[in-house]
Amino acid sequence: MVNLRTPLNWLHYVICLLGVAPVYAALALPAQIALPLALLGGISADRQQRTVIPDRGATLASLIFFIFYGWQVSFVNLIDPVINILALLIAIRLLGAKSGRHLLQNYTLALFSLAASALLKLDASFLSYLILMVFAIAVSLVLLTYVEADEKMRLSAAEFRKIITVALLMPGIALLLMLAFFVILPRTQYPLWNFLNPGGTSKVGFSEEVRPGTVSNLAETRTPVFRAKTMELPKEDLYWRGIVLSQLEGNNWKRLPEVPGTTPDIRGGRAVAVTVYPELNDRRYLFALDVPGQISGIRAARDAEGVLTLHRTPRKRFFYEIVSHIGATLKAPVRADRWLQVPENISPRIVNLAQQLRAAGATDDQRFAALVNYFRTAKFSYSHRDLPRGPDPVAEFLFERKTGYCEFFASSFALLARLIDIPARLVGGYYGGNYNDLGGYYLVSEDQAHVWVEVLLSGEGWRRFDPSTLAVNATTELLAERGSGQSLAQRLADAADYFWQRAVIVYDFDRQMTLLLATGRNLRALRPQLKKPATATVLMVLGGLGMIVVSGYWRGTRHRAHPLLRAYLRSVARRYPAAVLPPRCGLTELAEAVNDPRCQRFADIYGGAFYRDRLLTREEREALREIIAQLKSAQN
Amino acid sequence: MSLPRHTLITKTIDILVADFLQGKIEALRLAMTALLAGGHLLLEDIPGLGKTTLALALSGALGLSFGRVQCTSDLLPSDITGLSIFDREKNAFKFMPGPIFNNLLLVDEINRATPKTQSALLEAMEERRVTIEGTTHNLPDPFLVIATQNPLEQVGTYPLPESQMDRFLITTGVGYPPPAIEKEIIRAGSIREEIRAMHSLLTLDDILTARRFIREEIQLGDRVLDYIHTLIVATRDHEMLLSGISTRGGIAIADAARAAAYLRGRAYVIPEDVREMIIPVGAHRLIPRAEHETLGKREVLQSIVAALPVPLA
Repeated sequence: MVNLRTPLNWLHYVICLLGVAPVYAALALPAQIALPLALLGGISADRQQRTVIPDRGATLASLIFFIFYGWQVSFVNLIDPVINILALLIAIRLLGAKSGRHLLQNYTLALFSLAASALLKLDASFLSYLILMVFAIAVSLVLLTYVEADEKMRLSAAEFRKIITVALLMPGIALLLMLAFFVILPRTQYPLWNFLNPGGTSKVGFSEEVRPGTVSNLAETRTPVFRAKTMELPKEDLYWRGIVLSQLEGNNWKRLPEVPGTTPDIRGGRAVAVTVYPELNDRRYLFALDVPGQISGIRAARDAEGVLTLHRTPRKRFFYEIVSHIGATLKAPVRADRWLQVPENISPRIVNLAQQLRAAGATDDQRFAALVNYFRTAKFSYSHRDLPRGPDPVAEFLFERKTGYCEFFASSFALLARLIDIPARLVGGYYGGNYNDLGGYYLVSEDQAHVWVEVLLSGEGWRRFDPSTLAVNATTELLAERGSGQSLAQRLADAADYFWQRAVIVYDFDRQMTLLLATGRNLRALRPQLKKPATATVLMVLGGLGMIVVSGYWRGTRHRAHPLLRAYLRSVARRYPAAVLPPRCGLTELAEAVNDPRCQRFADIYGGAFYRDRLLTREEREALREIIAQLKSAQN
Repeated sequence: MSLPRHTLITKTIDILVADFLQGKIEALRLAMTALLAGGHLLLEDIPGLGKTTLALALSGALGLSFGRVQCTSDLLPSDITGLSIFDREKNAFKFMPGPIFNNLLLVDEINRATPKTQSALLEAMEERRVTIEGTTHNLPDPFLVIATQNPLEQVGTYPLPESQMDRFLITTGVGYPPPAIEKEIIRAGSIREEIRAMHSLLTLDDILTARRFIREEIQLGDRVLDYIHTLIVATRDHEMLLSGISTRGGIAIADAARAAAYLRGRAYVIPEDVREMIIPVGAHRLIPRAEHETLGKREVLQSIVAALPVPLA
């Protein structure tokens, strides 16, 4: 036997947990402490069948919390007080009395709390919390109706299972309907989910300046930056180009604000289509595989350096499609002097080194080969620790520590290249990416931020060169962390999140219309496959039959007769097989046709009630039963 | 439940059928229904089947004043309504009421009258009063018109337009009597003389009392009302019909069904009453499409009624 109170209590705890868990990290310390204590206290109190806080106390405490946090609510500080109030009210309810009314209150609070969590962060986990909570509440409500009827109700295990199955059926069907409605219900131009979910601006590894040695501004976080749907590519092609830095001031590489020319001149390369779904942040640069070509899906400016910028900071999630030309070169539209600029006071050691390299040959290619060779033989190592920090970090990197990360490699390489008359510039972006074979996309995270160099060799155009790969430990350090494979669970979770973003968050009116039109096209495309009139006829006949069945059923339900009338008609049909029965004729007509006074009497009594819009009285029902009995007995 | 004057009225019908109108029970019942429901009756049949006899017998039995108009193409409206003539002695005009100022008016071969005469008559049927030379004269109550028309006669006739057919509550035929009865009728010869000699079975008051009861007390339940409405809507949607039964037609069906229920001795209407009355009351109100002109309206309506289920629960 199952005492229904026990599963009801546990469902209550689960619902509270589901409501509070998504906001727990954002709660103030008192609430963070109070909640687990209240849960434990509530469980033990329920076991001893007592309440920790009496009703009055609970109301008073609730009021106090309400006033305290309500005071803090303002337009800018809305969510924090609200989630704290909700969490503390749930805690009080856990400790208080647990009548049906109280449980319902707590379910509502938990639902609100979950809803509030959507204002903090809205990812795929919200959906799983919501689904679990819907199921838990639905089952709990069913149990509650039993417990409300009888507090001590016990059911056999079989009965209990039956109730649970039926109770689970309802939310199951509701969720299926929800799915259908989500797709077809009209959308606004602006996805509502976005409004609720402005998106956190996380710490970024990518920056608009490169200044080696100042701070370790590397983000070690694995926060996703964007996901790019494309085919799986070799690792050495995974350079996600973002910004080009051409101006060197001291140690500081900056972006030249204006580059003459409007469209980049791309030569050669292999075209690859990529769809990029960026996470929301406040950057205006768009990333694309090197070298980015035509962009579509969003309005973005593309300058001669191939840098893509949005006109303003995005306010909602978006995506764009871009054609990248892997292995292509970019023609320089202007004089090369622009990329030979160097700061005035460069360390003499560096100038010295440059002079040695310059002696290697007369042509650009020879000098470039010497530079590359120098980096290869100098035994630089790639690391995030023991970084040069002095007043001249580049010189320190080149001649003393010989340890650094991409910024040091790229800055020093580009500086030396310029000193030996090879035009060079820095390119910032991301390198690598975790290919998610479940979703068919690359996940690029902040810790994959990277800086490399582009050099202009003998007029052939800008060529990508990544000095970091020349480090002695490049294969282990640099490449290892770029796309170190994720576990299956991670890939699954991320794929779920990716589809959530694609299907839910950016699902707005435009996408709905696109889907609708595509469906229409597909249906039209389907039509010629139908084998001429024959198939169409078969389909029409089947459809017609279906409609007849449905309308017949409808008619049948519409004329679902009173049980006595049905019994009467059955007995008349047996006794007078040739008679036309209602509803093809009236009861009196039937009585006249069969010429049976009992039938006339039935018609009088039944019609006398029915056609005068009243119910049969007890005596009338008795009389009708008697007539039916007579008709039946007479036939035997 | 006892219905006022019900026994008397049914007995009258029985006596009339037994003594004078053998084989015309249906037509007589419909005539009585029209009288009780306060409507007019149009008898459509070939001459010589006893339409006039029916009207004569009815008037004789009911103790009502009786007038008769034989329509011809030179019949004038004033021949029906009456006219004022100058009284030389009193030196003033004196109104001479026409045959319309009777409780029961038999209009023989109405379709032989000119449209102008027809409309004068039909106006009186609708308004129950006539205005002659500026003076309005109320017609007696009850006022029942029994008109006959010969469908086969084509030459020199002015068929009643649909809108005027609408003025008649009930249209029916008389039909040939069954062979045995017809032979008896032929043997006995015309019974006009006997009808003239018959004494009345009902008084004016009996009829008015029954009519008031039917109008005010016979119950028409929601389900039967729905049934009537479904039927008239079905006639409007029918593919062979240009227009179906109007709201006025619906009222007529309900009124006739009430009277039919009364005649059956019931204080409430059942669907069978509606099914009984809808053909005589509804058929002549239908307008078929041009391509189905030859189709019988009765048959179309019958098929509609047969297709719709009777409300049972």
